[in-house]
Amino acid sequence: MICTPAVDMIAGVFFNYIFVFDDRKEYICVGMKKDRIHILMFVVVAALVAMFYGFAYPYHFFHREQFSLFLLNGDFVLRYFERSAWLTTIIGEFLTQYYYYIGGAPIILGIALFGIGFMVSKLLSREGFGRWIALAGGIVVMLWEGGRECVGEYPLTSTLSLLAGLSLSFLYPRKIENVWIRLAVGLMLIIAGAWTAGYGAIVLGIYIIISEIRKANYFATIIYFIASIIVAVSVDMKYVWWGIPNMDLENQFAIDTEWSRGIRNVGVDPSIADTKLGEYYDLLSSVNDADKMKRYWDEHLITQTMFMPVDPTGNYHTITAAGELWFEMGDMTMAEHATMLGMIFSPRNMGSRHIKRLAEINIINGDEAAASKYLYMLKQTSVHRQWAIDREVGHRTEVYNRWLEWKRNMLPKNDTLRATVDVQRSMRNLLDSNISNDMARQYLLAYDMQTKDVAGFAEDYIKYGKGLKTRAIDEALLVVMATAPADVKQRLGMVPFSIQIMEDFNEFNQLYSRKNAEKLKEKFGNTYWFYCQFDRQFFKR
Amino acid sequence: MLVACVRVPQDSEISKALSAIPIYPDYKDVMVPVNIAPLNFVIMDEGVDAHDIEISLGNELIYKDTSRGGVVSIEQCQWKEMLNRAAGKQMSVRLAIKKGDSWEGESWTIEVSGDSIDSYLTYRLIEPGFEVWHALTIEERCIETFETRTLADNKELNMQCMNCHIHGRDGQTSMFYIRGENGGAMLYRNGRLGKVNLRSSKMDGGAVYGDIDKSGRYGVFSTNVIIPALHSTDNRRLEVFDTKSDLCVADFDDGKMIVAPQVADTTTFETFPAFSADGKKVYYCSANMIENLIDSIGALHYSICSIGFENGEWGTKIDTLWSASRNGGSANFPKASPDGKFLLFCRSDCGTFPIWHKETDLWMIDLENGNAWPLEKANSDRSDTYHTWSSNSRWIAFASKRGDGQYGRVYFSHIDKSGKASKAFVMPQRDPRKDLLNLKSYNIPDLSVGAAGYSRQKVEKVFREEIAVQYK
Repeated sequence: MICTPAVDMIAGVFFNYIFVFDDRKEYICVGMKKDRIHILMFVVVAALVAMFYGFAYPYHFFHREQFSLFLLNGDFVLRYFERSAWLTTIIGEFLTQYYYYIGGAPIILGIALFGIGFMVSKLLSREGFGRWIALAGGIVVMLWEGGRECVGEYPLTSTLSLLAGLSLSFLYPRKIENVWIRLAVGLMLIIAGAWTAGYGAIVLGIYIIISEIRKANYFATIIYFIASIIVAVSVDMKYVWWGIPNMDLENQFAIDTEWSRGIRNVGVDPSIADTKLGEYYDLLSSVNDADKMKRYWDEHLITQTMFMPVDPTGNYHTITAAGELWFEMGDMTMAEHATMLGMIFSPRNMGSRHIKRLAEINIINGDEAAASKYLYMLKQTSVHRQWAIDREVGHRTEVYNRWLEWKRNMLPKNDTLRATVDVQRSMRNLLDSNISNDMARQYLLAYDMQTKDVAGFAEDYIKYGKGLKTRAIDEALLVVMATAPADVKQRLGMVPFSIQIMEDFNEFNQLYSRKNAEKLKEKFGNTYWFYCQFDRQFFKR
Repeated sequence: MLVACVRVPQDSEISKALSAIPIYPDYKDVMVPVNIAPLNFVIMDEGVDAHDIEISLGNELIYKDTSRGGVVSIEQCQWKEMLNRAAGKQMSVRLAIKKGDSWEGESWTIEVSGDSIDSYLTYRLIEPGFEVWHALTIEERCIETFETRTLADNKELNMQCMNCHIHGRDGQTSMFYIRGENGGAMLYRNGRLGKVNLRSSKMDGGAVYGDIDKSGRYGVFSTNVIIPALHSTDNRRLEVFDTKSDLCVADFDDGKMIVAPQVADTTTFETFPAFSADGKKVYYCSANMIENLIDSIGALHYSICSIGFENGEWGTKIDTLWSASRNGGSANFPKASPDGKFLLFCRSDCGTFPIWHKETDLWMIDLENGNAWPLEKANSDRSDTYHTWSSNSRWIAFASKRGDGQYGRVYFSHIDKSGKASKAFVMPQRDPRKDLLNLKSYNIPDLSVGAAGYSRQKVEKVFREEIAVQYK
């Protein structure tokens, strides 16, 4: 079979033939059965990495999809052309939406990694490296890229840029004798690569440099080196040099993602139970479970992270998570505030999770016009279109309408103004409108206690909390009884305390008056009285 | 070609639509300036297979297009020619849509005013993100085309806040602020962009809202200490109020701030200043100070006052043009028409942050007789605010949250010689679906005759390399 140089490039990649330049100055295609072993190895490695992603590490990818949005709209797509790496970015962000599905990311990444390994191996073979070195090189690059994909917000675009750079390498006319032609074509490929694939052009540059060094063409090598440096500093892409799985972060993504998908009994992995996000979601998922809440109160939930901060100390993950509590509790303005800010500060300033939440917040608030904007956007996506249609007026099911009615009943009835960080005022407003909002009640009293706002606790207990009985609350009430003015005590009325707690309180006060810190800590270190009097760091559960 | 290949319907095939064909934007029965870009629109009916549009001037058909899908897009050169022919006249539009096998149609008019509108509009693109910002830009759009350029991008300015861009009435001067470290007022004057610090030792805060007079020498500003707070019901979201606000004037020639106790009264809030057309007066909003505003915002009502400013000195007599206590409500953003006849302001129930007050409407005062009226045809059921005049006093641009209620868009309305407004229409886009998918608000639109004389690269250079000139 006689083949032309052009066929060389295409068929060599896809049909697993290599071409040798024989004595008659013609190309001869030679089948390589042993290349099938390489292919099998790459398939196995890609499959193993994909399985790891699918079974042990999926939440990073679900999270990535939540913080991105790809709209099938001309104007939206045209905006990509304003950036470098527009081609890989369009494809990358288009494919990222399919991370929404279970298995979506593993399949997409598995195929990409296979392509990377295969191409690296082919390129190394072309340059005369032995087949086992080529195989090893391919696998190393696959694993390296697989590791980078484990990093939080590492975009698929970057993997595709690597793939694109390797693909472009096959177009380099390494067999043309004329060095100037090779240089011209090579530089054009680098420019085109930088424009369409960003740093993928650097990968191309590296391959060309290797190829030219092997030809001892050092002048061209320097030119390509300079070109690669120019690409490196001019393309607008963040570089992640390497990555490994971060299971702590993965577990945090897991609870956050599961919660956002409507799973309420999220199980918090013990490895992150002490993290802010772990505590936050553990409490959030427990608040409607009486047994779990009893445990929290008994172990003094006042040290728990109750609210995620919506301020410069947070990041877009935690700010987004902050909105979940308010959405659950019924304060849609606070929920919208957190959602909007989470979206604003996210890398792409938009995400499917935020748009869906903003749609539902406005549906609950009865602002159908506002909701329709977000639903219209979601209808321009492949993945969330049906979700949006199901929430349009006229398409809502009976079940959904009942849920809406329940959420609307929780809304505040009276308007109030509060600072964005005034969570107490928000919760009081919710309770004023709906005294049966048990979540608001428990959080409010716990927050009063956590912030040592004893006066606030007293008023809130009188107004909203009577009947809520736990050891911790009784401890706080004793502090109120000991310190509050007479009118507060009168409004508080008779509070039945157990004999044990009364005795404990007396003993605490005696030890405190004797300034016996050690004994206090030993015997009462886990009481609210100790917490009130001393730094939080001494408080133990 | 394939896309456009739809059989042109005969008139006899087109039945009258039983209900109005929903289009976005709503360009039905509007008045437009003779120099506006094409009014492209999208048919908001997913079942539309094709559309046929005819535009006539009198009995003459001047434009016809039959295409697949629901996006109506008119080529710019054709549109410009149509408008030039139709100046001062009315065009008739007949839109027919194909659903299944049948066609149905609706007709409306577009009146082309002989009055042009200032060619450029500057605005800030920012999420309606309450009290914070992240990525924001100040953009300049040529209203006659779809050309837009970025004047400043905070990604190039250490992500610092930029706000309060204004154009001078002289048509040459303009200004905006970069807040934070190394920031200042970016003043473009006499063909040069420079950075100045308008906060002198005489002032309690930095300059915020402002206006530049027709000579280009003076700028009047308020200094505000601003507190944001969240509402809890009714989608009102954010409220912003001042705990302190006063007025000052910057003399750009002499590099000094001119303050006076009559406009820096600690018992009143003075804000939103603007020069009169002749530059001899300053209009502003004034309210009595209230303690504990967070609980009493409903009691905060601003009136519109005026005070003289001539030869670099504040006057002493304060007049009330519009009294909040007499009329009810609260006035914000008084802006005098360039011909000196009218004063346009927005009115809400209370407070000093009308953008999230749904009830906010545009009102006009006749400066000769003091009569005030709402611009009924321009107003909507959502906030209509942040207005700006065209230099010929015949057009206004303003930000409105009508539609989705969340994202402010720019609307235009014609003002006739008696101060009455035409139905407002939204700024056209090349792809009419752009606004539907946009997650940023068009904030503080400001009309200008000419393009800004600087580039974003120059802004970055001045920001990074220049030290702000301190005003005395």
